[in-house]
This record gives sequence, structure tokens and C-alpha cells, in this order.
Amino acid sequence: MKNEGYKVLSSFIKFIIIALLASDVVVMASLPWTLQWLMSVFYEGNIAIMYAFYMVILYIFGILMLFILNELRVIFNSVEKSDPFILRNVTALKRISKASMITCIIFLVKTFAVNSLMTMVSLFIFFIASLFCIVLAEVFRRAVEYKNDHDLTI
Amino acid sequence: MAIILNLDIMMAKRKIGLNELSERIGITNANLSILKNNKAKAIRFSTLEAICRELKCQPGDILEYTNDNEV
Repeated sequence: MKNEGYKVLSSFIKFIIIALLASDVVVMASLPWTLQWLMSVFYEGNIAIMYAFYMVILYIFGILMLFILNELRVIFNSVEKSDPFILRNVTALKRISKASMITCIIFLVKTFAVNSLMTMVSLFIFFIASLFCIVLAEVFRRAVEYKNDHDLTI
Repeated sequence: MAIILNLDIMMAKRKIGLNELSERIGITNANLSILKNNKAKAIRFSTLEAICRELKCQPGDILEYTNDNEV
């Protein structure tokens, strides 16, 4: 029963990840129009330069999020199959860590260009997430080694 | 690996097959195959005890040490 609950939860999280992936694609596809509309409502000044700046930053961010969500989907796929301790998950966590660090650098650039409290909070969150994923990748690598040893102990 | 398991030799001496031995010692056929082909990284005392009991031999009869560095 406990195992069933865990499987239902991992399936539910996987569903959320897929929904987020789809919404990421939709947001990126509609970004040129939505950004123009938002800037015309909330921004006063040289719109052309800021529009180009935000477009570049948001597209890089969107692609990185797509990448991170896809790697998370791979991890939750293996969790759903009750076999999470595989080398592919170690690779996925390392990739998420690198992508988070790049995101952190992008937010750092944005902090100097157009600062806001939300940018600084996001910068901090992605920095911590990156470090967290490096440590988790190492923990998973050790777990994979222990699992292989255990599987080959007869 | 420096430790070799001569399980196949002892099985041949006792004229016992893989299926029969795996049933008698209570491990799966696949796991016994891993042991027989020297793919295992470790062996539990309980498994070794069961193998020795069923093959009527000593651990030394199935385990052998060879120095990997020797040419």
C-alpha cells in the first residue's frame, strides 16, 4: 500500500512536469506578443532596447527551463519504474546543476542591468539548486555503486 | 578477480545441474549463473553454507586464490 502511494505521487509529479514543459513551450512561442503587450502596459522609456534585452534573457531562460524539466522528467520516469539508482540519473542531476548555474549567471547579469527583488531571489534559489544538485549527483553515484555491489552479492 | 569460484568443477564432480542446485540452495537460476561464471563481487556465508551442504564439500574446494600480478 505504501509503495502504491509512492508510485501515485511520482506519477502525479511527472504529470505536473509534463504540464510545465507544455506551458513552457506555449509561453516561449507567444513571448514576442505577450512581452510587447506587457511592456506597453508597464514600461515607460526606450521600449525597443529593453524589449530586445528581455527577449534574449527570457528565451535563454525558457530553453534552460525546458532542458531542466526534461531531465527531471527522466528522473521521475525511473522513480515511477521503481529503479531510480541508475547512472542516467547521475548524469541528469549533473546537467540540472550546470543549467541552474547558467541560469544563475543570467540572473546575475540581469541584476546589474535591471535589478528587482524577484531577480535576486531567483538568483539565490538557482545558485542553491545548483549546489544541491552537485551533492545529490554524488550521493546518487555512490548509491548506484552500492546497488551494483548489492546486486552482485549472491 | 583474484578469487575464483570453481563451482562448475564441483557441480560436474557431484553430477548436479544448475537448475537442481539452485532449487536445493534456494537461490534463483540467474544468481547461481552469476556465481558459476565468476561475475559475482561477493558471496554471503549463508549461500556458501548452502552450496557446501548440497555439494558435500568444504569452502576451500570451490574457492581458489590466484595472484593477478603473477605472470
